[in-house]
Amino acid sequence: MNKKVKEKILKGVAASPGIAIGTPFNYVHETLNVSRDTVPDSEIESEILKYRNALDKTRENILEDKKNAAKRGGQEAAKIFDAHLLIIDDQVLIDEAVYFISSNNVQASYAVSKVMKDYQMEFEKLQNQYFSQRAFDIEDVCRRIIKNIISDSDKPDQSTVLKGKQIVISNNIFPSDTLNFNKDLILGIVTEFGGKTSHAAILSKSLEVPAVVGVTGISKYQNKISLLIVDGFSGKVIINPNASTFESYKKRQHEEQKQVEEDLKYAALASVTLDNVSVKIMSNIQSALEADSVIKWNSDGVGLFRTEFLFESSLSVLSEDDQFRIYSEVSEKLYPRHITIRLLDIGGDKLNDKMSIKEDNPFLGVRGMRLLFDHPELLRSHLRAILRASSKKNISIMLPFVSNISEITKTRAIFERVIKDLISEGYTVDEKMKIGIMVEVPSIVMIADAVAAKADFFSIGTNDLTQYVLAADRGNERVSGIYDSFHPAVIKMLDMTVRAAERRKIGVGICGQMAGYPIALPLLIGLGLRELSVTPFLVPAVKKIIRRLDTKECAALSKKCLKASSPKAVLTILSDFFEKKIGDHPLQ
Amino acid sequence: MVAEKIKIINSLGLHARPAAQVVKITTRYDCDVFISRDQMEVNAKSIMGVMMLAAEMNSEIMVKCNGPDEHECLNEIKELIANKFYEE
Repeated sequence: MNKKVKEKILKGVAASPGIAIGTPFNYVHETLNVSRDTVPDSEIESEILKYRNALDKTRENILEDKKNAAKRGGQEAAKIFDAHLLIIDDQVLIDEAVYFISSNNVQASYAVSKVMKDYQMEFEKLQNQYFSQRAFDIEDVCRRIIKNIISDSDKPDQSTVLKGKQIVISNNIFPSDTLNFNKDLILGIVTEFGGKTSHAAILSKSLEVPAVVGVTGISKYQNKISLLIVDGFSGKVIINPNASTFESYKKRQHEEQKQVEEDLKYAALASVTLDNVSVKIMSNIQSALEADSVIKWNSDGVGLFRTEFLFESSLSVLSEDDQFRIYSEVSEKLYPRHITIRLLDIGGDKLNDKMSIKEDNPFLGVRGMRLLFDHPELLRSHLRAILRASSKKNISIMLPFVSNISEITKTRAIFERVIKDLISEGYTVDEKMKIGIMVEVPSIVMIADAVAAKADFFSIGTNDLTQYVLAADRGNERVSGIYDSFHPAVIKMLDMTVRAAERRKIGVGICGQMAGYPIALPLLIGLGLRELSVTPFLVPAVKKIIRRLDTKECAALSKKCLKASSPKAVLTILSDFFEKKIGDHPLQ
Repeated sequence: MVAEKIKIINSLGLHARPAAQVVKITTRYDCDVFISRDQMEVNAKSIMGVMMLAAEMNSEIMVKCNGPDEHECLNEIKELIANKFYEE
């Protein structure tokens, strides 16, 4: 019945790394049988009652999901269900549906689908991404109500039963879907819609399965796929791969699995160099769910907790209380490990439309601390939530996109006021909480000694630092040849930052992608960095290399790199060293 | 009927939580409440409706109350918005 299609490559957004090869599981949201049948006047009352009962039942279901989500440690996911409760209790919506039943003599299921579909379409039309994405929430709630109207049984949706380990393909994954799947059987996830912050993306990251989202056109092929490959590194999906593609991916997948197995062996070992210098390998995380990965891969703590989720994964911007719950959850789960929370860093490549600023050049505009100073209420609730969660004293704060010392002193003044308020309100807070900064704007490096007198620690963000030093947008493919973290100017900047931190005796770490490049590690250690922060699953791989390094040899290496005149020269020096000392071929 | 143009001044606009607060007020009053922005007018007793306005910071909305307790209702809405929904 399936007409075979030849190999076809579709491009989407890489949402979760890894390679999955398998048969597809077409997750089509069960077609709910809703038809416009005329209901006699005598049965209208009973249709309305059916509707009201279904509302009660759906409310119970959502509360149950919320409880389960919270139990699994997902305060953010629980938040989504709170929003769904708001939708279900919308009195106007209820009245509209009831009126629709009685005035048109239709079944409850038809009325609900009609009324909610209208809302959904209105929302889809909205320009602002935050509001337009709410259409998915409406659809999700609507489907649940209809399901409860047309069936009273509690039997699980047959459409979510995977046949062995499979790759889930769907238009979209709803919050309510995720609780239905048997998670151990999901090999990977591919969706037609959605971006990096969609529910599908968040889910796949927390499950640690490869995912590509926003793959336009995938649903057209849904019934014509016998095998597919999900490349969660490059964002490619390969349908019905030919023999050579299949073989090469199979090989890559095999190598990766071997790597993971070997890496896991390193998880238990100490992170020390050959000459017994210990190096902290921290994690970069962006949701509370990832705290489990930090433990699994035996990371020393969190070097960068991104807080952009404040605006992304739930229906509304998180309140102080909700933020507090998330920070406390991570703090408690990871104690005694340390957690560095970076204040909201929106702008540039992030979702700045939510703050409704239009700028010609957002990367040089209002982002990071600049944006927070424009929204003092937001900064205040952010600081309050973090401080309230600090009773275990394992949290520090990191300021993003700092370009002037005055930004640090200004934040400190606000911070002091917030502490005073909280204490007078009876909260226990960590009054000595450290406040550090992201080093990503060149001006900070040039005056690093003076900055270090005001900051408690530095964390170097190599991705942004590279783009600002080289004046090359990291998202612009046409200058991708210029954007290069191995440029001697970038390395010089790293060196200046570390030297200033040493002179002023403050901590210094690195949380950019560079810390995850095997070939860069000897250089970073040589420059004197002793705290690296990477994606959790990379922790063992980094550790494995650290354990083969000698700090004195690395120091000599970094001196050589600092004298190099081009990125290419630096790379040659590093490759030679890597080949000689580590043996394996550098992966980059 | 009473009506007044009000500017949204909280940084995040009429997102879910603020919208819920508006509805909590409007549903306590007997008067009808409608809010409009640009061409769109919605029933302010519906969260979905209020959110559909997609009213961001600095946007202006027109609030119309019509009924026996219209003054009290409008005042309470004004106060809520002026106080940034007591959230920030």
